Amino acid sequence: MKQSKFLKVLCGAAAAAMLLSACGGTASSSAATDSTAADTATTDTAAASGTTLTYWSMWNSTEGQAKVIQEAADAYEAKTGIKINIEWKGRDVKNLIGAALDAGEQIDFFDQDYVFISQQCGKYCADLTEMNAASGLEDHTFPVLLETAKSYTDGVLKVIPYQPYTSGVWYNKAMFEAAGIEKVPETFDELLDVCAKLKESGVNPMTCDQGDGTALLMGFQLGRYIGQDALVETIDNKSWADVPEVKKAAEDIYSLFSNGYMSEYAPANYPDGENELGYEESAMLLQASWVPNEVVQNTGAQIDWGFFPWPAVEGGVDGTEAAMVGAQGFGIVDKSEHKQEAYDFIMSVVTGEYDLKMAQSVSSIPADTDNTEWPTAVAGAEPYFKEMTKSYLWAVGLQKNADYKDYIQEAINQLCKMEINPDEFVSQLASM
Amino acid sequence: MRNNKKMIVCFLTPALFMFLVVFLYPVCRTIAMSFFHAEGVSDPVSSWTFAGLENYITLLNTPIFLDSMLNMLKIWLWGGIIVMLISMLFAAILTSGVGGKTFYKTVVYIPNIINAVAMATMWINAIFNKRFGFLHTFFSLFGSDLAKTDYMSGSTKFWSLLVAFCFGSVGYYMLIFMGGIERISPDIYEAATIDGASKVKQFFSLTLPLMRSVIKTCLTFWTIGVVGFFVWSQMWSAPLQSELSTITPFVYMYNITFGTQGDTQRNAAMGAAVGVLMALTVLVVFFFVNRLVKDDDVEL
Repeated sequence: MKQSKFLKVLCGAAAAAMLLSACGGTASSSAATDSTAADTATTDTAAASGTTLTYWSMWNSTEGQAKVIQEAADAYEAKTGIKINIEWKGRDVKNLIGAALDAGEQIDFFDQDYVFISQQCGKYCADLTEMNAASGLEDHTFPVLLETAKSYTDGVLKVIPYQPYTSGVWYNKAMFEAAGIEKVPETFDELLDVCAKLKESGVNPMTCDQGDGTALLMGFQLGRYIGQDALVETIDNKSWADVPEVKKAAEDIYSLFSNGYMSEYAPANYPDGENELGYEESAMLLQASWVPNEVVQNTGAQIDWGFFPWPAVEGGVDGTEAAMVGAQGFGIVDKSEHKQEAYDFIMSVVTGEYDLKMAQSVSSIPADTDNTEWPTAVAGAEPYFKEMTKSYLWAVGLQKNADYKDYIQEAINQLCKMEINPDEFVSQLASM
Repeated sequence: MRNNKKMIVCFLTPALFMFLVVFLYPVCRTIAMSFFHAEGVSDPVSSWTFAGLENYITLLNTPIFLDSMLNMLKIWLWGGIIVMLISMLFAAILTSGVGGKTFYKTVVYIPNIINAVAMATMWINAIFNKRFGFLHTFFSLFGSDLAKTDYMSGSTKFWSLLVAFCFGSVGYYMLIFMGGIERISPDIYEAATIDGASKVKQFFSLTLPLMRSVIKTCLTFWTIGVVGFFVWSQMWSAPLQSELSTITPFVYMYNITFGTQGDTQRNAAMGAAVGVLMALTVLVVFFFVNRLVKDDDVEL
């Protein structure tokens, strides 16, 4: 009997231990496995051709970006004899990189979201100031990206941005022309007029996906009224009821739905909303600049894309000069013995021929400012991007507070589904 | 005998060593980390700063964590009732001598061998999609308003998640229950039949009481599964990392341990505290299940 009880306790403890080890051990153990593979590969190739650099990539080998990077690596090896050992880790590199570097994994460079690298991986990354000065990289990069990256690392640049993105309203030019719209809207009232004209022409004016789609709508509108800093302050202090612009923004977004300017399926489950543009069921969508490529991939659509920034509002703090912009970035590991070689390879990817190839292969924005020929799908964003002076966080900071973002998102979704009205939206947020 | 002991030591030592290194060490480190401030999971111990119970107190005062616990409790309770009842029913039917037992058993079990991501994608796109999904098409045929229901939104989202998850879980528990039922001697049923007991009466008066230890095992497995609920929740909230209606403690732990798209800040120590609390939850449930469900008192 005693033995039976002991066994029960042992079983219970084992079950609990399994849960704990799932929490504590996954990253390090998988990193250890990867480490072995990387070490083996490194040793083999080093013996064959001299220097080998190990690169942990955020892409999967089948993605368009990966193919261009592989091509650049092959060209770099042919030119210098230095092999780039690429480990296609996918987006999980974000979770693995810290543990791997702490465990002594030999990685020379890696890539991820450039804010993530600046904010969270700064301690692992080399200061690139001198190499940048020598190469003149800063003359080839959009200033707004460099300034944002430096702002997280005390003015020191520790990441090389590439494949930048911007955000705004992507629209079907043919539908605008058919509705007799000659000028893109610059204010929210003009946007409502455009929606009315599109609706009159028998076209569904806008659509959005729930989640990021609705968050961007509300984030941009709040950002226009009070600016990002005040919005983040409002979130942190939960002072929604004390900021009259919150209700105004809610009324604006609500009006898009209540006036029938949004698709009957909006907010749709991702990616059904954005696909409506591909199926030519809706004319406009607020999203980041990867959307034209995604829509083409999902639906095979051939659309003549237009772009305009999310419009300004009357009496607002921010105008069309502010948008959510970002990029992927390369970080060079400070402990690497081949920092200069890694930097040279990265330069070959983020500037010149391969930067342009990458932009064209996935319809993204070229990172090199000398590459002036933007892919047709995103070309409409070029003039606005170059004049942009203010960079927003993702969803203008609405998703910044991990403890409250889900409550904010829930309230926004309910507002967009017209399950609550703007007054209830404010009181719901105020009661968080 | 002495040689046997030597062999046992030789064979067990490597396994025990590996267990201590790759299993027990992370467990101890996780428990210890939960009492400190630490940013990354692999930060050296020297960089940790002592926090005492602060992480636990913060967690228990964090509404989103409490809501994630509530979601987990709802999955455990409602999902548990649905899965256990249906599994038991299927097990009882399939062990009653019905024809095509192997075929039905295989069909019901198949969802368990399909990857959870594939299963979730199938449910989200083929069943619940509000434009092209099966439910939309089915209710449209009758002109019902139910065709307009958005199964992937608001509070409905939780229930659509639960239905899909339960669908995939039934086969596993059905097999365990079938094993338990088949263990019971046919003589007992034969005697009951001679005494005039109906099949239903036999199920409630014989099968259920004799299956107590199996039920206990299933409840423990179910609890462990639900506490570790992660992939389905992530699939239901994609492309966001979490949503209020479907967030579970492990999703919250993942968010704070590795950061999110909108907030790259990490707090591995808080994540460790979530892990410890979840482990304690399993132990508590295990303790109560053992107290409430007595072992079989009949020797079979």
